[in-house]
Amino acid sequence: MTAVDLARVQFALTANVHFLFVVLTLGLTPIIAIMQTRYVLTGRAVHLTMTRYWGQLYVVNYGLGIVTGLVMEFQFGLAWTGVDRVAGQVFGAPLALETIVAFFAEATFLGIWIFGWGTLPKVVHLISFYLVTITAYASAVFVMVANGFLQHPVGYVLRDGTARITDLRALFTNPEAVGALRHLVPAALMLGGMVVAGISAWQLRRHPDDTDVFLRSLRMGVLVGVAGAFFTFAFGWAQLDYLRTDQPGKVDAIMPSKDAGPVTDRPPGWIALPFSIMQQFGEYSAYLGLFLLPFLIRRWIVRRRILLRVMTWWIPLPFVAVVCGWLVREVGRQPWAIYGVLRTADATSLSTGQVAVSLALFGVVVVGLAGTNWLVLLMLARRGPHRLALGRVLGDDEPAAATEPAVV
Amino acid sequence: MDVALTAVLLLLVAGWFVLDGYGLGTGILLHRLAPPGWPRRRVLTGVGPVLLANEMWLVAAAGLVAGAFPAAERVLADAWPAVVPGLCAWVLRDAGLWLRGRRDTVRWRRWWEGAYALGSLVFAACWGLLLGGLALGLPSALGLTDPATVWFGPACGVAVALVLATHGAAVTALRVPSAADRAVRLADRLALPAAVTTLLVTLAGLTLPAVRAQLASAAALVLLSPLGLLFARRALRHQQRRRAAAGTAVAAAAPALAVLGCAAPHLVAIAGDSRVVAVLLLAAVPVVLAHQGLLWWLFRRPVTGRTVAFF
Ligand code: HDD
Ligand code: HEM
Ligand code: HEM
Repeated sequence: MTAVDLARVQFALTANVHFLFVVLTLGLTPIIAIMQTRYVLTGRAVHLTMTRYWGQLYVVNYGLGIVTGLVMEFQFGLAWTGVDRVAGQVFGAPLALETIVAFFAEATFLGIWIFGWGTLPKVVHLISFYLVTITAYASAVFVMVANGFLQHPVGYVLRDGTARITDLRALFTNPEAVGALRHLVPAALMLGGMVVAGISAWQLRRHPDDTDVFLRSLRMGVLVGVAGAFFTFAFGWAQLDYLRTDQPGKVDAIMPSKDAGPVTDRPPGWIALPFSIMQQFGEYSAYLGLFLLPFLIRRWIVRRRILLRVMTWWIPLPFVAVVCGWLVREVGRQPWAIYGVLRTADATSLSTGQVAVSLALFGVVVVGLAGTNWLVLLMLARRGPHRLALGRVLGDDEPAAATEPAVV
Repeated sequence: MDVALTAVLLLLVAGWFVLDGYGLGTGILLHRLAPPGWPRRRVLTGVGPVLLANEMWLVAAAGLVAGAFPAAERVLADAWPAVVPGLCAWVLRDAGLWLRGRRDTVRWRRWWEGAYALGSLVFAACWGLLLGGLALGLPSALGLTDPATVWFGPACGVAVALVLATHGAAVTALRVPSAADRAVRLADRLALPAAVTTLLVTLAGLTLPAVRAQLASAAALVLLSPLGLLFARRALRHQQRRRAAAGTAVAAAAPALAVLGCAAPHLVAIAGDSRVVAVLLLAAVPVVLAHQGLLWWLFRRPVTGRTVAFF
């Protein structure tokens, strides 16, 4: 393998793992925001429990998502100096805005949310979570603008081999960015909804008499999931419209048609497989969701153990679909790193040995983290709404003898 | 405009050393600051609320380099031997803190506390290695392959780890009353060796022609580091813990400021030329400072039994 191949594998691996964290974050935040809003409005304990239960799953996932994001952030300068050299100014702009505008705010307000339970006024505490939600989505916008530029460069001129921004608005209204976002946001919501519904289903199967928290969560999860599935579906097909003109090779690879003329720059044909997995999964999910809707009335779902079981086993599937989607998008861009501007083969800088070492290190780290993350989430999910970690004060877990020292 | 962006970059890096240096320092000393169990958890709760916000200073610095000085990003590739292990250590440290409290078994906690401590130590040392390499003018492999300069980077690594450890102890003394006595003792014991090490490394470094060419004008600034440490030691002996933390903060920021300050003229020269992005980034600075201020103000109180914990 050449350095470029290894660097691509490294990028694909770390980006996909990062995205598995991110997509769950994006899916869970709005759901939790609704739960906490209901708590603030009604003051009822059940909404507080729901917020804390799903909130702790979200926080664990979020923290580990951040650390995989760190690897992403530094990987560009490290391995893809070609991309930086040609498009650093264009491409760096959204990423710079993301880190300074979105990440800073997100990390700050998340800190306030985690450690502000019980000490901040309820409304202020809720606002901090809204800000976390908004900035998470702002990150997604900035990142997709950067990625959209790679897919379909706009708003720039090439001078002395370096791209310079001429039109910031064109950069942000790039159809490849907007179109992908319209697909990605509902996909994340669909995934978040399915995770909430699937875990709730598992809890309901174990404790059919204790339905307060999990029947409500299940209803919310299914509703969000169905709505998400519908829009994901619609906007997914919509992407093909502009892809036909922007990246004919990609469309030809995923849906070969006989009457098309010869296509240059055709990416590997195997991306047709991930495409069909993603698309079929999307369809079946929409059907499943519609089928489940009537069972949300009253407590009908609680004794339908088979349905509950299906919902639980459905949880991994949206994650698979998400990885498939990215394979289509990124491998489908080949052989270009920046479509029509920079070939992937010319985009890296390191030697094979260096990339091999960093691939091995980063690979072990991110895969290990992902595995640990799922294990911990599974454990917290199973533990149920008792002894919630979020919002506990130190004194709850310390021996009574641990009194304060007299002098401070 | 380019000068302003360069100044922001320096501010972000220096701010990172002061703020996240506290987290790294507590990590390096974790096993000595408090015995396992709830006392150690209190030390970590001092770091908890501010950890993410602190490390954002470095993430933002990287973002700023990508957005405003794309040509400088190649530093990351050239400094490969410091960046790759440093990044892995960073990840390990964060994961350690994040996962430590998630299970109630002794082994689980011991393992992740170890990850937090080791990650902090390696991360700090890699930063020293990187600063050393920059002071050498960024030779290939950070000068580690050249027998004349091979010692310099690792020596800087040791110095930075010592300085940050002292800083971590000094700030913990303020934030975590239950660990304050041990923290004060540790800071007091470490300040002198850390000061001597930074002084010696700086003086020895100045015997290398490459470092002299790069750093001569700013060597005085590096010396703020041993001075800050000595000041902190004196303050601790007079029970002035706030002053001590201020002293170690200066010590933590000085080396990075000196080294990057010398690179500043080059940075100004290679700044990208997008006005819009520059204006947006500069406009974001006061906002960022405002919510960071809010965060520190909200969590200014020392850690007690009523403090919310998560880790
Ligand atoms: C729950 C996840 C999920 C589901 C059910 C679907 N997708 Fe998807 N798809 C994604 C998750 C996703 C994604 C991971 O979010 C991608 C990767 C990049 C992006 O913007 O969205 C994506 C990319 C992506 C692309 C590549 C866009 C590009 O290269 O610019 C196409 C053409 C589609 N999708 C089309 C579909 C169609 C026709 C679906 C039929 C229902 C579908 N997707 C369901
Ligand atoms: C800002 C957003 C992103 C940017 C700028 C970006 C950029 C890149 C670059 C530079 C490469 C290597 C060059 C190439 O193979 O063309 C690459 C490859 C890849 N990326 Fe992305 N990426 C982004 C987001 C993602 C995400 C979130 C994922 C998945 C979750 C992803 C999946 C992949 C894959 C699978 C490859 C390998 C392609 C191949 O092997 O040919 N990307 N991406
Ligand atoms: C490929 C380029 C990418 C880079 C360089 C990158 C970088 C980062 C970094 C440094 C973080 C941690 C920041 C923090 O502490 O908040 C992070 C987290 C995050 N990223 Fe990415 N990322 C990339 C891809 C993506 C994609 C494709 C998305 C979404 C569409 C995304 C959305 C997020 C979000 C929402 C977070 C918050 C943490 C989380 O959700 O787990 N990122 N990313």
